[in-house]
Amino acid sequence: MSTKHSTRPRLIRRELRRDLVAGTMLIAAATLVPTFMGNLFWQQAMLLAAVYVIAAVGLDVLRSQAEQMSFGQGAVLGVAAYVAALANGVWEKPLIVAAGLGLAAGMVTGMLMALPSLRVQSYYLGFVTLAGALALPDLIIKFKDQTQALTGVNVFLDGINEPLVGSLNWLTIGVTLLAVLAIFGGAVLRSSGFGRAMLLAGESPEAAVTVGLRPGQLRLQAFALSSFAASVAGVCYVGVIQYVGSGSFTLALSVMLYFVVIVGGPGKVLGPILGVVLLYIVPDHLLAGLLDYRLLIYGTLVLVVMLVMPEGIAGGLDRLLRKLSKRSDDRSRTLISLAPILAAAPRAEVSESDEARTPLLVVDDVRRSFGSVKALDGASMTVERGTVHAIVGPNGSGKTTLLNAISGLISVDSGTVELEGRDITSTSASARARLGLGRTFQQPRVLDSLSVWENIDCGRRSAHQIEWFEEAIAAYAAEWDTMNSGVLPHGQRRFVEVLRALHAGPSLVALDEPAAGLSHGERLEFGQLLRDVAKTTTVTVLIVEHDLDLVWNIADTITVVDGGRVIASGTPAELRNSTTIAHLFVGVDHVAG
Amino acid sequence: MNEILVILIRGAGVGSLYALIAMSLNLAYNATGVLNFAQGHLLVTAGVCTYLWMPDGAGTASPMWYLTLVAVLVATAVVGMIQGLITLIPMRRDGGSHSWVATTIAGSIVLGALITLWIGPQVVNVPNYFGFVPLPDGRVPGVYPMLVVLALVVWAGLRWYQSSFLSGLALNALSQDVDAARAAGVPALKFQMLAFGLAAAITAGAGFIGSSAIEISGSRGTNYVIFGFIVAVIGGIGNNKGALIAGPLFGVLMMYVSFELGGGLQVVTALAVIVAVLLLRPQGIFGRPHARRV
Repeated sequence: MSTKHSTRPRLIRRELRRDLVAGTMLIAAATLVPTFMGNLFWQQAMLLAAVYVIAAVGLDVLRSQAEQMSFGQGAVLGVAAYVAALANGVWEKPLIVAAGLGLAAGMVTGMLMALPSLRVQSYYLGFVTLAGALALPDLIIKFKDQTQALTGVNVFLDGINEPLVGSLNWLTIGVTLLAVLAIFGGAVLRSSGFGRAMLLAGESPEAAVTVGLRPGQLRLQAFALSSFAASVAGVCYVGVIQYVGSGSFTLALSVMLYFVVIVGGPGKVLGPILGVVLLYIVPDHLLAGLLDYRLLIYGTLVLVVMLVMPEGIAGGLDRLLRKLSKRSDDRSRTLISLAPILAAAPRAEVSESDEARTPLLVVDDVRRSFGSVKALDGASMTVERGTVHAIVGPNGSGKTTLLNAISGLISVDSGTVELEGRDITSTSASARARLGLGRTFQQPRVLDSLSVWENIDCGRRSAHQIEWFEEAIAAYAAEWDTMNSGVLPHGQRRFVEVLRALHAGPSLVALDEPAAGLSHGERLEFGQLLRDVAKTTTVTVLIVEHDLDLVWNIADTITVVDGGRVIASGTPAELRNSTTIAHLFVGVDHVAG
Repeated sequence: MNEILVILIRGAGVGSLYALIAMSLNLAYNATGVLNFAQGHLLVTAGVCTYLWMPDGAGTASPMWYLTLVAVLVATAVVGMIQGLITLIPMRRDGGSHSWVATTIAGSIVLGALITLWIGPQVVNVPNYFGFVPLPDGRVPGVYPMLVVLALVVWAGLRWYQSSFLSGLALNALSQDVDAARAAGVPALKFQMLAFGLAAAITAGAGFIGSSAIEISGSRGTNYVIFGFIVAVIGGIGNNKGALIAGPLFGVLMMYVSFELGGGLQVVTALAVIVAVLLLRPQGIFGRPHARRV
């Protein structure tokens, strides 16, 4: 069932458009001005700069969308260029075939470099890709008979570099267009649900799986996009330089592309362009007279930018502009209110069908040890459909571990978990989420770089949407889309995460201490939302909570956990008189019962 | 037979040098969470200093040899502390906790550029100070067994320091929660700079003793930090005992591959090793699996 949306998804987010226009003009001016002035040296230098921009935009996808560290971009570019050059210059293939072979070889190299990302991230991946980039020239030399490493390979361009008007040729037009296309492509990705999914998977893989995403697959897709950009850049490189040799693609190129992204401004449209200006054009051309000091200047520039503008030049300029324009962040201080969403909830309760009488979730004798600690020691519980089910217990009793075992974030040593009669014990967390198991965390996984609405709308959505809820939040989508998540207070971040979980259309949503850090008013609203969700839909709410007042008021069933086992379970009224757990409820004397 | 002996001795020696780099990486990592990409360039810095400062003909019997050793250790430690400070300052800002990747690589580029400006692009030849080890037929330079001894001594020394002194203990645990340490009144930045300095000094020791076993030039630093990192990963990042064992194993493998397939494939071999280890056992042979994230 499709839901009505008051906001049409935009291909490119509004706040990116100004920078796209500026970027397009910068690229076009850089390549076309020397072209029309007939300055061949600067024409070639600027085309090479455009090639680097293409590769850097791809690397930025990895760095800023997927949060992966790679020093292999220059090697991917190099392999694509080298193979294209060999195909054209040695194997005598037509240009178009050579380009295709180059692209294919670059993609294969990029995906090989991506393989370790399935197991490890961050600096591990950094060192591996660094080693890959360092190994490439050695390999080219080792296979010198095949690669003609001693002489290098010259390329013949079949006339695409013949002048059309002045010194304008198809090559210049093509490379310029591809560079502009690259920055547009980056912006489209940044504006898309796919891009948001990548970002969530990169910043918080555990949150991504709870909305049904597959982080490993998204990482590989990010590597594929990045490698594609590098391969296109490699093929363009061959066109611009018309020669490749064993020394053309050293580690220095990969490191430069990495710095272009970091220094230019990660995640910014203009970042790759500014980075190329500062780290290629300035040291290689503007300060060409200081050849001996090139590396020193280059390294020092990077250090200075990192000290002065840690978010890169584009990020630093953005902040400066915002300060100058004094546009107060009034809008971002608007709070998310759950009240209007609650008002939209239908009053009628869902009638109990036959289906509703079978339990939704059955946990049976689940055990899990961490070393010698038995976090779960034979826990069993049953969660009924359309109820609010609370898990309470002292600190360290195994509540969160139980929730993790249900969501699939940890595996269990023994025991079973069944959802709607189906054994999901060995089902992955992501697949469980797609079956309808939603989840929130003690520390809300809200991405500061996205708007509030983007944070809510960044996962996979099931077919079972909560219709009234979708209609209610759709009315706020446009407003929330202008709100900056970075300035939200803690309680509001929790709301965002809960809204994200509900937006996915779950059959059960598991909340880990959702009321911690909420104000009294927020708690009331929040409790009401959970009740309404359970009462008006068949969605079940499973909640781990320390606030017993809240639990007592909203839960249909309470399960008490201690020492990794369930020691009692029942309605609040039943538990009220239970002596085994009385010590847990000291101080809760004004409950409604 | 003799070839195998030579491969074993040379491999264990060079591997121990990589283990010393790995221990330096671990030391700074445990105190700061930083894996210093410039560690290899610090090794080269020490090698170049040794080459320039050692008087001609000075051997282990001459007091000048020991004076030069102290000078090289101190100079490299100072460079390491300055580089550490440049790395640590941006990390203290909000959201700056990952800035070290860029700043340490930039640091390595600046160091490499300075070395090249200083001595030119030449490869520096440092003599072997430790005589020769006789073999059934032939001999190997004494620098290789000496490196194994140095790795053992440094490992034991670090172990003693980090278990017997409060500052040593602090160095080993600081990265777990720098904010908490700072709140508890620990002068975190001073300790972290001490860690960078000590790590640089260990690397400098390896460079002073072992420069004749490797190629010292401004462009080789990256190779050495990658080899050191691979040894650290195989041993489990942060685990010195692992590095001590993994180093010679890795060194012998590299030496064997060079022997069988010829030179020029060292980095390729290293790449294959690191990919295999990370795919099969990312926490390393002696490391523990990571704790839960949720």
